[in-house]
Amino acid sequence: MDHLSEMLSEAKILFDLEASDFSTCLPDMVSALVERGVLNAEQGNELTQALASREALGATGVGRGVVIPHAYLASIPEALICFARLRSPVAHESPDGEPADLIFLLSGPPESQTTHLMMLARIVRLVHDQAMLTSLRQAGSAAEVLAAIVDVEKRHA
Amino acid sequence: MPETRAGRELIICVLNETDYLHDVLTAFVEAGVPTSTVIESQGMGRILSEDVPIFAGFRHLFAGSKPFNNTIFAVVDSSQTTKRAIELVRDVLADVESQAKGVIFSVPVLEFASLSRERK
Repeated sequence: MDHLSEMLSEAKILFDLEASDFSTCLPDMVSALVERGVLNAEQGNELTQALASREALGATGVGRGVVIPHAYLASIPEALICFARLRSPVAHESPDGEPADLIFLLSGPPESQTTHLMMLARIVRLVHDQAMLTSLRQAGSAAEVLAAIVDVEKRHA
Repeated sequence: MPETRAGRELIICVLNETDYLHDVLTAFVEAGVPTSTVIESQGMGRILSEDVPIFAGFRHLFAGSKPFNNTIFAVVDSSQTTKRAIELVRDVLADVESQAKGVIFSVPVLEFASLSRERK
């Protein structure tokens, strides 16, 4: 399985996304990815709906302000991981009740779901590292975000 | 005194089709398994997809797992007994229609001791 840091790129990292509440977060994140050419418009529409369906199944907050929304679509040909830091935390259901400000969005084709499950589990494990979360919240650039993730993956190989 | 006897093995069987527990234990007896311990257990997939919300979307990947299963432990004296036990267990479950009936495997036993008082 590829490292999380290898699957992210600057185009897939969004800073200081404005969001008044969580219901607008994911559509805004997907729209930004469409604007950046990471997704096309059709993929963006489908993904927005699929993410909403998944959230209706159960909240994807894992605690410590981290949310991992995910949905898998035939129209997305390769595994996709994107990261967004919200300008301000927003209320979102999670095991510890902490508001959310760090979002790891996962998507890809349905036939790769076993790999996606492994990546989801990896992110759940890595976000227990408080130093990484602090670095992500203090990062001033996409490069610093990537550096924080490279660092945590080295420390928790 | 703990015994070190080459060839002793621990058979572990995780049985999802718990309705067939008696048939599996009967197969063990036929294979020459002297005794075994049965515990009620739960599969990882069931626990994660039902109890941990982040994994809820992956329930279908764990579709074969039942709410509960049985784990059977048996110490046997030889790999022949293990092989025979596996053959017979697979035979009793052969006609069971199921995506995931369970698994059976063995590991070597390095030391073994009865906890019963030794007779003089």
